[in-house]
Amino acid sequence: MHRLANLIWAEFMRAWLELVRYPLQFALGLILIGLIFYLLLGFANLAGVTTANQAQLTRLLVGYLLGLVALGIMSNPATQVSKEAKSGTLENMVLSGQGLTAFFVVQTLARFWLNLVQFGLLFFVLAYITQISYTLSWQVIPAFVLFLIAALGLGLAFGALMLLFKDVNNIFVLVQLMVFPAVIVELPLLEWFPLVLGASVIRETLLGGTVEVFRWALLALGTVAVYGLGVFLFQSADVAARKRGLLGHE
Amino acid sequence: MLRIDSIQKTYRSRSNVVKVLTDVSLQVQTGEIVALLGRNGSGKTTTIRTICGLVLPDAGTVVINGFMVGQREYMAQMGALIDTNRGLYPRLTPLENLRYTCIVRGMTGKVAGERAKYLLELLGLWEKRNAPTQTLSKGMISKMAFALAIAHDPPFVLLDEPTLGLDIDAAEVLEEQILAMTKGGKGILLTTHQMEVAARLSTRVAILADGIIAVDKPKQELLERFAVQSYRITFREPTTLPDLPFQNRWAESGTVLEVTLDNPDQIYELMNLLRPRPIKGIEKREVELAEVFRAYAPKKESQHAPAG
Repeated sequence: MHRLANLIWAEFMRAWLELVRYPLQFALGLILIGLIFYLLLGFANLAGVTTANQAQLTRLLVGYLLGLVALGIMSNPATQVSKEAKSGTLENMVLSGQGLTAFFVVQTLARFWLNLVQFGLLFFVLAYITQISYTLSWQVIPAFVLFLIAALGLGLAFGALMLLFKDVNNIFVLVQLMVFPAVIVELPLLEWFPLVLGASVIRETLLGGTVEVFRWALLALGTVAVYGLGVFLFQSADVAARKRGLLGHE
Repeated sequence: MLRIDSIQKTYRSRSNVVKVLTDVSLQVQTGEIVALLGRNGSGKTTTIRTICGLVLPDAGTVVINGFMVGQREYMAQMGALIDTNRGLYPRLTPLENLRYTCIVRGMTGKVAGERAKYLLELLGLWEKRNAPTQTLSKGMISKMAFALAIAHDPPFVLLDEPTLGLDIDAAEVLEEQILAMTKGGKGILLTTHQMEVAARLSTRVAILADGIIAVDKPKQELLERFAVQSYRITFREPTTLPDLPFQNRWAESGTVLEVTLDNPDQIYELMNLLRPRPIKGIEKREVELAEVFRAYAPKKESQHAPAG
């Protein structure tokens, strides 16, 4: 536990140091995300979503930000595996004795924590500008946590692919192109998928609605399954990479 | 004690099967520097990476101070310098890189800061503590990689080509630190192609050839053993000889023959072969580690290693 606490501290410190060293990147990220939202709003207007419909706007904004959160978390382990292999720090991770899975989970969460500030800030600013209404219920928190864990599970699965096959960017882009709109647009047909269901539950709670127990249970089960699968794949890839002598190769 | 027993490793891909380690066993005690020597592709790096847990062997065990590779406590027992060109986070400064590593290794923030300062001062990098990592020279990056390897002050340190590509000053600093660590009771396993580095630093030499440890003896014993068997024979005029059944090399336009026998008794056989030639003198000669290395890890086209 003490070791894990040290890892969490070290990774949060590193994420913070890297952030403050490049503050412009952070600020430009905020502006870019805001601008893209307005672009999305334009398309939504064409599709019939009007600013007069508060609920639709809230759903769009929440879906958009959750889509970005999902993409960020999903891509982080794979991106970091690639970066760490290039800088030769992947070997140091193994040598630290902390375990690669723990490393990448903590690292992803540390980076996400800073993104959360970014996205939270954006949510409140955009919500104010577009004058949408929302309800901050405590139920948003477990729904959001489950959503994050599911995204992390998928991220670890991608990280596993990166550990073993190195050049798999096209597959990531393809999956991201499917996941992002699936999270934004509500498709009941895809609600078995925890990211879509999670986004839907978060929307419901933010709009003051109630979520059936069955959907909560489905979300929890789906999340555990996706995360468990992600961890299993990542650990298997870790072992396979060590057997093949590939660990740390670019 | 660091002990590896009967390590075997074969790399398999769809198109290729490469047996790298057939049966490697080796021990490193505290307070000694073992030089693991071998030609390119002999399996030195695979051996080091196996000890580090970066490569899983097909068979065999690695144990340090009673802890098996894979156990959490194992990693605290050793540090490793795998690549002198890499291992730093490019967006962090040297001080931040070291502090980060110390904290990940379990130190508190205060202790990590003190340890980072100590290591930076020790290696002459304190003035560069806040410099962007991208601005560091190769020598500085190598020193940093070394500092990261020993950040947690482990009892055993593995060094894969620690002075490769370094200028004389940077290499000297690292060599001094390696020797100082041994005096402090640490055990060191180092690989290098630089025989003079191995000769200067090592107390014991293990030579890896064809996937096995061909020899593993104290350096001095190896050199003395070869000295007993190594002769420099000077002829009065350039001479030709039939193929000799031991290691030999002509020097000085065919008037000097350097011979290394497989065992001291072969001196009689040598004398018989030389008898009709005009010999000016025979003397025992100083042996360099490189010659011992060549004897135990011969080039593939001329396999001829002494017994023992």
